[in-house]
Amino acid sequence: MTNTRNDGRLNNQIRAFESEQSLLNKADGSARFTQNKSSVLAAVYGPIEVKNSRKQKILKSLIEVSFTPSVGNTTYLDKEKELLIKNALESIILTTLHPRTQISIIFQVFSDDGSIISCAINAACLALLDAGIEMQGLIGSVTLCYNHDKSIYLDPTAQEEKECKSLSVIAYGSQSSQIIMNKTEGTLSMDLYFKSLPLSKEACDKVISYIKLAVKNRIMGTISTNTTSTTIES
Amino acid sequence: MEAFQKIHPLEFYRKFLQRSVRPDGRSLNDIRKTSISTGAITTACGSSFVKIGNTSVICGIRSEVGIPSFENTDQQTNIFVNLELGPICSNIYSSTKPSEQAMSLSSKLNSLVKRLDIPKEDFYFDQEGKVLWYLYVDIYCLDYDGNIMDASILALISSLKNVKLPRGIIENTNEYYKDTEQLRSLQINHYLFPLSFSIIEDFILSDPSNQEEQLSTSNLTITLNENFEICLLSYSGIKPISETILQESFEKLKNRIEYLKSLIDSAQEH
Amino acid sequence: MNETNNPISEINIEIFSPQKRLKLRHIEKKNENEMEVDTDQDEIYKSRRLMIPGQSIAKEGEYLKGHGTFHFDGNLIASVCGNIERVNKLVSVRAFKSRYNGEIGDIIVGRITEIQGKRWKVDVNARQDYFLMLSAINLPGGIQRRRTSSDELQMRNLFVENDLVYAEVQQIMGDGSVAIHTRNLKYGKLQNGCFLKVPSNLMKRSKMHFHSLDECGVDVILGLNGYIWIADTEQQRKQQAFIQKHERENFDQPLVLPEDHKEITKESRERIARIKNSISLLAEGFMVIHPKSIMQVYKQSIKMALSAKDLLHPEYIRQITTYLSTLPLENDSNLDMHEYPEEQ
Repeated sequence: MTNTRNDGRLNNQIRAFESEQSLLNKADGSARFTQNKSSVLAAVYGPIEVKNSRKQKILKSLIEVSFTPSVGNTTYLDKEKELLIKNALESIILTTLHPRTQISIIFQVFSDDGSIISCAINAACLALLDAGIEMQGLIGSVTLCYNHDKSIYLDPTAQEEKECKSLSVIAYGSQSSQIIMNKTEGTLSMDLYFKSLPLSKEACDKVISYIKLAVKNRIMGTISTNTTSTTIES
Repeated sequence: MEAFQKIHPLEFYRKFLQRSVRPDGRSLNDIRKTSISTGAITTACGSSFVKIGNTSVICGIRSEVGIPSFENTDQQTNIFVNLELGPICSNIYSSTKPSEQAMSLSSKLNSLVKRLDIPKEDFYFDQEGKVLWYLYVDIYCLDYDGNIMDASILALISSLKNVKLPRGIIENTNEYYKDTEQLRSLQINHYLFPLSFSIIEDFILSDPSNQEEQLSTSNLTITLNENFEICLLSYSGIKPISETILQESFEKLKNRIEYLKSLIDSAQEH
Repeated sequence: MNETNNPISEINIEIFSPQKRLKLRHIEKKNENEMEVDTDQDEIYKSRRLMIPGQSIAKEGEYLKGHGTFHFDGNLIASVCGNIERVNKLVSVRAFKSRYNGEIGDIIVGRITEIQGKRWKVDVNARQDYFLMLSAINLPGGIQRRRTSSDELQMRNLFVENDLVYAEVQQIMGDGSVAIHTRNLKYGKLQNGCFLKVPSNLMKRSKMHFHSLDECGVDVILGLNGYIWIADTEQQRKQQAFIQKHERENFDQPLVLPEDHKEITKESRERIARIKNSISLLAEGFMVIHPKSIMQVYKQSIKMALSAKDLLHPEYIRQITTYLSTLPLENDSNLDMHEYPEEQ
């Protein structure tokens, strides 16, 4: 018995993805990830010289994350997002290859309609691929919300996030079936939590295969669009 | 021996961890001595002081009146938590810039408090609820020896249970009078039981000290309430974690719940 | 609770077509179909194949791991997104975009970012800033003498922050930091010209990096790190003569370039702009940048009667890059284009 949600989706349907890569000229890598009305732009600079030499790490590259919301200044909520995203990305980037350098990842939220941390992590994965930074594998992230009637919504909108009983952001990598990052808040029974882990793993796998598809599409291109409307004057 | 600890801290720890002990004599699952006391600050409407090992945290709550917000959610909008890690607790933190760790922890504490299910009537200043009490919870770390999260959560729940708010009446629409004789406490039927873990290589350590946190590759904090429901789960780190380890962590926390409950309750009785 | 057992239903995936596209040049055109199907993971084809981080290339013992690969769980796995390249037993994955990696002897153009004790830090679009030691430059006066403490105090008279320098990579230290030098009369500070940055992957190592394009009277310096300098030939020659005279005669006085030496006519400014836009057109089309290709674009733009700024228009960019790809590949050893991806 599946209930349809406000926007007509089923409980376990993710919103359609859209992505764009290499949009910025100056950044080493950039990508924009959109899920209907949630849209985040990620820009990657790196590896570059460490700006604040106190933070320089001798054996690894320093990962700096900056998260700017769509409206207003950065608050402590954004700082928490920064730390979560930073740890998630640090686990897939091979930081030991670039000691004493810094990899900066900057996020700008264009519009926030729920699942914004997941959007950001997915955008970062695409941007890192664009920048050519060595990674162990790919990372995909989804958000789940658990409702009062014990149903689980995958990829909630902002309204659904407000109304739910519990919210969980989770990230998996392509290399193993272990959790890279998880933050769950709200009241949630342990049973339901563990039952939903395979669901979130599958959803992250879908995100990762989308990312692979987007990158391949961008690089291989579709050959037909090239020579349609060109005229060469003699 | 001390030189070895300073030069190769990870090697030093590994030698202990392989024998399932830690340098301070604890086993990997042992938790340091925890103590909670409440009501130390008389000028605040609620306060508590928590010590886990050497980590000490003091929490004070002040109250203000204000008009109700127009948000229509069943989440708590009357309590705001702020955690400060200043130079008094450790030399890592500066006095000018708020540390990112403090901001991130404040955010987690706020999300815990939002879903605490305190009836709205408890916050009414007057009989009808035209004006509400707003509580500002300030948590200061006095001594940082790891596991600030557990200490803060225990301090938060103890001080909230310790809060005493006076009743009030409004006259002439903008004169507020407090009845300081009659004080009532908030009806908080829930408890929060936290436990933090650090993962160093493949060893999982409960209640990490500062040294252990710095060597760790990942950190896990879980909080259950008295119905064994998850209130907060935060895992972030450089290596991924498997489900079995998560399940084991929940088991370890369940064993500790009785003890924590008795601590929180006995602190309230004073 | 039923939902947890259901598999995830079809997800609508829309792939927004990106504006910038990197197209691979298929060397053997009949392999096109092979490229799109990603089946066999064990063999490595001789033609290029796209790898994604986490994708397994081969079993661990079969090949030596080069850049862009790592060992995990008994397999050789790609760590960047890019083409596989195989030289005998060495397998590496080359990313499409990466920061410049300096080799000894590379000619580069850099920008001074900081003045430290006895050295300058130079930004060259690499992973770290490169060092220009005080002992690695030619002091004014031309005499070979020891650097004294007064030289150290007067470093600002030589190079200041944001100056452009034309230099060569001298040495790579044990900890990975790189030292550059300008110990040659042709190296030194670059003034009165135009600067441009392109991806360093498009720059090719060749015999000369300083090109004087006679047809347009423009000097072009193609730094291997992707930093390019364009200036007017006439003006640079006059400037150089003045500076050398100054060095010989009154080097202890500050160098002040007279106004007429800085003058560049409107026509030569137009030509410089055209050259600059031609280079950015080549960068846009992801084509290798060298004087021949720059001149091809330049001539084509004149033939098409485009003004210099029209070269920035996407429509004309498309036309000209298509035209260029139809030109026959020249058998010049400098133009070994098989190494780099190009637009088709």
